Amino acid sequence: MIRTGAAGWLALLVAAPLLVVLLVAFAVPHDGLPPFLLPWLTDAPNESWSLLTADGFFLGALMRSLWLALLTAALCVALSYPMALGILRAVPRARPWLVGVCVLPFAIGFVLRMGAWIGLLRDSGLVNRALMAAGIIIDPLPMLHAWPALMAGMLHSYLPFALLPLYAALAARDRAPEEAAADLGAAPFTVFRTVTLPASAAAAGAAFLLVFIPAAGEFVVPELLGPPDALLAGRAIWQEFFQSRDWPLAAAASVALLGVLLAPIMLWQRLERR
Amino acid sequence: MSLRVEALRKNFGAARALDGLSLEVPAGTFLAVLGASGSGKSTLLRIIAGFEPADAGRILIGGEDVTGLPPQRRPCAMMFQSYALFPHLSVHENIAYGLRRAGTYSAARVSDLLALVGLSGLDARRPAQLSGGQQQRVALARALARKPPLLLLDEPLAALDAGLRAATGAELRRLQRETQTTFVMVTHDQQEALALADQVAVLHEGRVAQCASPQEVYARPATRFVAEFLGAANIINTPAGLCALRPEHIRVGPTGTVPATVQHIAFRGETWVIACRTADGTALRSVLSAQSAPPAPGVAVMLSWDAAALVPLCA
Repeated sequence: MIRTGAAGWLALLVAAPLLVVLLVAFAVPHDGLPPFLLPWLTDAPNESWSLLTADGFFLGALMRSLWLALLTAALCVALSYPMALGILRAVPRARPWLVGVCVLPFAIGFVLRMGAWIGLLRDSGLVNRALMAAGIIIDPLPMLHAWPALMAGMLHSYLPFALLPLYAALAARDRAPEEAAADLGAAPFTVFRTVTLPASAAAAGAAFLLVFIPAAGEFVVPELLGPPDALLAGRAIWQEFFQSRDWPLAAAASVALLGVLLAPIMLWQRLERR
Repeated sequence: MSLRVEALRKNFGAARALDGLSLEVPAGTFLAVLGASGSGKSTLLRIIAGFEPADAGRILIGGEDVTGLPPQRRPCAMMFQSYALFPHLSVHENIAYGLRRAGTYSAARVSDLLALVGLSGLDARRPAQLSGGQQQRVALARALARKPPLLLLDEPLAALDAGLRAATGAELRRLQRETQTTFVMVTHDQQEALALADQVAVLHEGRVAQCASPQEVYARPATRFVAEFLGAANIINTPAGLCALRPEHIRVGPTGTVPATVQHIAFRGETWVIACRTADGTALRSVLSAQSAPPAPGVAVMLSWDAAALVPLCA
């Protein structure tokens, strides 16, 4: 009963829109409303798929997106380890509070969070004014619309997706092998490298993919904080859809991005099942 | 190496685990620390290994104070109750772990250790592919790899089934003799402690109630707790004070000095256990060889014992 119900909702809310997108990807652009003609209503050939690979525009955007997602996910996992292990060292009573503090930024709206970064980093922002007042710099540092600002915003947005699953896995781990390693002469970092890290590799992989998959489609953070020349897949799709009004091309790019992300999604599901 | 524990104290919140525990173990001794669950025996082992800090007291290994040292700098090795093998490493690499940390790894040394515990040829297996008994041997080989002068064993036989336990215990004893290592084994099983150890320390309320040879703690328990914990001796009130009286020292027959009634009898294989009640209401248990005919429940019998069998107890 429940299974059929869930399948019905999935079909309605996930499969049906996906099919519409797939259908639009094979349509032909057209001046009018909607701005495309379905393939069987026109003799004009569909060009959206060949346009995707025609020049480096979409491929470059895709590569930049994957690179940003990779960097974000790797940094999130690398930061989550010391954070999770640090929280687990605190007395048990303090742990929920410390996790709460880490997730607290999510109590504030996304736009406000990004606005805060802009307020901090722009030329007349808090950081530049403080540095200029202290006499350390004369002209404001161009910090906004650059890769460091972009990475700060991405980490700020995605860190909890890596921290929470990794924390859960590390909290549930068997501590005895780590004690055995220390007992056998391993210094603390060696214990982490040879025992803790291999034991939590599956959880770290899942945490990585949990950040990587949504981050690959992200375009608001790069838009607000990132360098102007860094066109990303999400932004390219947005442009085609709203500015060029080439819905078939935007749909084809969306389907292509989903196709690229299918492999990591399936990998994540396998890691989660373990 | 010798081990010396001085006035160790440890509280977990309001719960007192160790209450000024002191212990002296000469080099090359097999000591069994015997206690009920919650008696603080595992805590004691974890403090000696360096996994838990003590609230007060000192630990000396081979005369050297190691109280403030982290586990990796203490000259002892521990065998964990759960074995704590590294699940992602092969048997060979599990045993090699300590050798690699010390920079003394050689494949030959690992092979020797595998032969020592009778697991030659299982180098490439993962811990999950081994039986419980095999895992126990890998844990032992891993702990012995660096020839630690002091080996701590936390309930080493508890996870094995009964059939394997006696044979593995005898093997522990053999390894201890061969390697001349000081063994400190924590156990809740008095049979195991009496059978394997040179010295038995009985823990009670965070302190050592008695530390002596197995024969001594069995025959001459120092306190009421030791007497009851080891073989459930009878405790009787005499004009001289509280005394322990072992069931096997009570004779049951038609003649004797103390009249009693048989309450019930139980067959234990080698023996009958006869539960009696004397005229003044004291419950006494006696044992009878399985070959002899036991008295029926409800029958009046006479009990007797030698005055020398009475062991005076303090507190």
